[in-house]
Amino acid sequence: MTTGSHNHSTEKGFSHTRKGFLHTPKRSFQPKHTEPVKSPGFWQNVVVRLKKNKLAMIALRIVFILSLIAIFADFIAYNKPFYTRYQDESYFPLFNDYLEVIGLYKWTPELIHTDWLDMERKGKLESSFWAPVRYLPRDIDQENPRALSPFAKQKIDNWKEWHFLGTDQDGRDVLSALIHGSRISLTIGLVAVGIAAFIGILLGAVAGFYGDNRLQLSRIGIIFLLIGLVLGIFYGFTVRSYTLRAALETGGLTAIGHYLLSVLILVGVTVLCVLISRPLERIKWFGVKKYLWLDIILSRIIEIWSSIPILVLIITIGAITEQRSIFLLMVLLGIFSWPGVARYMRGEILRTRNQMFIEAARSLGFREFRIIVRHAIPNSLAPVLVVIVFGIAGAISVEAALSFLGIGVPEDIITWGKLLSDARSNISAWWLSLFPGLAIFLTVTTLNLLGEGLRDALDPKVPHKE
Amino acid sequence: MGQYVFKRFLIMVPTLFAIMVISFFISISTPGDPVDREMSWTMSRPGVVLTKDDTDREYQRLSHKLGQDLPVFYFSLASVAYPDTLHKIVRLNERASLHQLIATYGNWPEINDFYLEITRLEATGWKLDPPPEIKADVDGIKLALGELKRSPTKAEIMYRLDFIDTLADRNPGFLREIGLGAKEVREKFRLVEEKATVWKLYVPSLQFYGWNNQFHRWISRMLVLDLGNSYHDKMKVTTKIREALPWTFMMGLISFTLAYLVAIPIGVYSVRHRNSTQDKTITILLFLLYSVPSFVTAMLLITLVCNPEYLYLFPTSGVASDGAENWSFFAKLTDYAWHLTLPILVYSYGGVAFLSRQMRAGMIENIRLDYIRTARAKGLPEKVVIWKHAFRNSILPIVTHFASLLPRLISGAIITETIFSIPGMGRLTFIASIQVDHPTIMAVFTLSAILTMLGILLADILYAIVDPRISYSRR
Repeated sequence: MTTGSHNHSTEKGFSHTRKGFLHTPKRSFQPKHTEPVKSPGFWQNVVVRLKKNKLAMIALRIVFILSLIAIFADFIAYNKPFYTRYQDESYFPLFNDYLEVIGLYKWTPELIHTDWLDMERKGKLESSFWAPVRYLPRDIDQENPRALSPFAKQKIDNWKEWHFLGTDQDGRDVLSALIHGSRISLTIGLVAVGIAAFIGILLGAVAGFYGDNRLQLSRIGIIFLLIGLVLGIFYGFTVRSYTLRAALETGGLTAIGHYLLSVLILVGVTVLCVLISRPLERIKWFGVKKYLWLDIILSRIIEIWSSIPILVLIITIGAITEQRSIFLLMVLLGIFSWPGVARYMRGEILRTRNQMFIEAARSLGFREFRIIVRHAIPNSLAPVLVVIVFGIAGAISVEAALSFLGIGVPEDIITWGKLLSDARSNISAWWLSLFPGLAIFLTVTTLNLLGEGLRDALDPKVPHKE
Repeated sequence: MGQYVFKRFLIMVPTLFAIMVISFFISISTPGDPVDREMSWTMSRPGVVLTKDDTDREYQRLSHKLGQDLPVFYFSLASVAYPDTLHKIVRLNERASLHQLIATYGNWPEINDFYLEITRLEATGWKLDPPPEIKADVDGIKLALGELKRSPTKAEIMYRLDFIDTLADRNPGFLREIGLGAKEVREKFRLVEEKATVWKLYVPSLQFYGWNNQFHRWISRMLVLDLGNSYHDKMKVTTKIREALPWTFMMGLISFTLAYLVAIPIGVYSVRHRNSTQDKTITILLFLLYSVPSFVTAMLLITLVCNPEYLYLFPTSGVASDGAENWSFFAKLTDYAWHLTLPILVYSYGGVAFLSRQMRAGMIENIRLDYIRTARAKGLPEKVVIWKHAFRNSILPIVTHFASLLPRLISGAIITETIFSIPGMGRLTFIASIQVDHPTIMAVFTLSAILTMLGILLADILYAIVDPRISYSRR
């Protein structure tokens, strides 16, 4: 009966119904600690394979550290101390700045423009605790107002005020600029690719899933669909054109919200129109079902979109818009880089859609929408993830290139590319080109490495050395 | 095959059209009035003082000449609140402010009355012949009336009207007419507000304008390669491109050749010594090279080897030394080479890295296949197996990558040529964008889109030729 006891532990779920088979029902509830041996899932396998790839793991850690630097940039480099005692009063200047942003604190007029670093140097602060770097990217160090190499003699009293990576021609700290620049780079990478992924996954999935001969609409439905699209564009975009234009200039989350709303209106109106057409299908000619060539149409759109030279386009638009904004740049990068994602998604969905579980879901009577969103897309996302990671690297390097050329990014925002372009006017200051260059290089390379690692890990065919 | 190529060319037509549309709509959303820009060219002769009537007439003439008084596209999708003749309002900025007023109130007839009333008042204002002591006031009023026509919001309109009123009240005798007129304008605006028909903004209307529109004109000119004149220096855009193209073309040619010459041996070497230390080092190095953005390399190289303080091996910019025109041919050639070494290096290393990686991957894929095993099994030496069997089958797909590199080179050229001041297409694009020189930007944009498309097409055709397994014809 050894096999019986084996059954007993692995098929715990059946024990209620098969009481007769197991003579002692009481025992069946005991061995909870021996869970059924599950075969490792897809993602578990991927993680195992990824963990074997040393380079990818290093890359993953670096990406992690970079994100931490970007998130906590203010706590690594800031021109106000965390804590200080000044004239017998305790202050938390850094946190106060944060509170001020959300409106919970107000600086007193005499302290609002205080140069805390200057006070520290003059010994006015009784005790203070500073971030590791005591400068903000735009702070001009009055004591060292010129380009100083990290090894040059710097006019400071305390080694903690050392410009670890030197200063630029106006005496601004390079390290601080690098730390805060990471925010811009990573945000642009994430938001741009986020937009691209959203559009790309959606359109790619629709093109791949429905193909050219899956989605049927009646003649009247197609007519109403076209009308709906025109109406949707009208209500979503034409009517809201001034709102949308204003949103583009302000940027931020509300702007994304406005654009999402427009897209929702477009989709909503279109769907509504198609629904309205339903009753008319009773008329014989109108009711004839036709296939929608979604794949052909969307593939053509993808093709058109991907033959647009992104860099030239952004330079063009950058030249046109009077008000430069990071947000506009992110949106542009996003809406012009989705074809890559869409193409992969389409290919992947084409593979998934004929698999058994989709068939099973369909036979269970689930709606097509649910099948796409809950089954087809999640099971096809893995390879797209690779494209996304590469996309982030690409977006970061395009942003760096643009700000290097001085296009698209506002003047007052310091980015890695801008630092690098400042180095052009002073080529003997090697630290001005080396460190930003390294920062860009490191970020792009690690992201690419991670992408490669993921790709290998996701592809079971690639042999792995044990 | 021929059928496939033909079909692909047919597909290119709508793609090209779509790109032209995008390009056109970008160009018309440029801030600034093209007619004003044109006028500043024709009328900036010294010593010529023009009256308002002359200016208006000239504006009208140029506006007509440039097609600014035509509808924008073949059709438009707007609400019924907009008249279909808004494009006939001559001044572009007035057109824009009227558009925004309609977007707020939705009643064109009243807004039109309001606009006409301002125009009438402006005419009155310009007819006045004020005595010197109140000339400043009248000039102020003229200015304010001009601005009134360009004010798209209530706050701005009220502000200008109040301003006119104060000036008019200061000289009740002479400017009485103006004061009354301003009151009339105010009344008209009140009517605009009162009779606002916002609902009209939510009723769509599709209007067709026929062939005579701005886009049609523009695209017909583009098709016969009339790309217009540069805003910046009035030079023909075609001339500019003709001057710039050879440089980029040459750089591209050299770097392509270089990339293939370097990449193929590296790839083969890597495969022959696969999984050895050399192979791993090469792979990692190539990967790093592949990831470094070219401008980073360029900057680092410039700091390293163009630096008068440490090491001055190459010039930082330009294509030739001063006075090189009179040198002998050989000296000239050396000079060019000296100037172009760094740019070409920067321009081509990405391609080298990309191609070597592709070469290695392709060959490794091939080496796993049965025919290689057969070749080995019949006792052929490894060298022959690699060069005669695996290499031959891997080289052709690499050749097709030629096409996918094209778009990369276009964007690469912008950065490299800007950094090293090489007067090619990339620099042309960059400078045009800084000078907001629209005809040039649009030409370059369309051209590079076409090149990209041709690149993709070429890649597909080459794939089909190279790999007989891919069939594009109907089965």
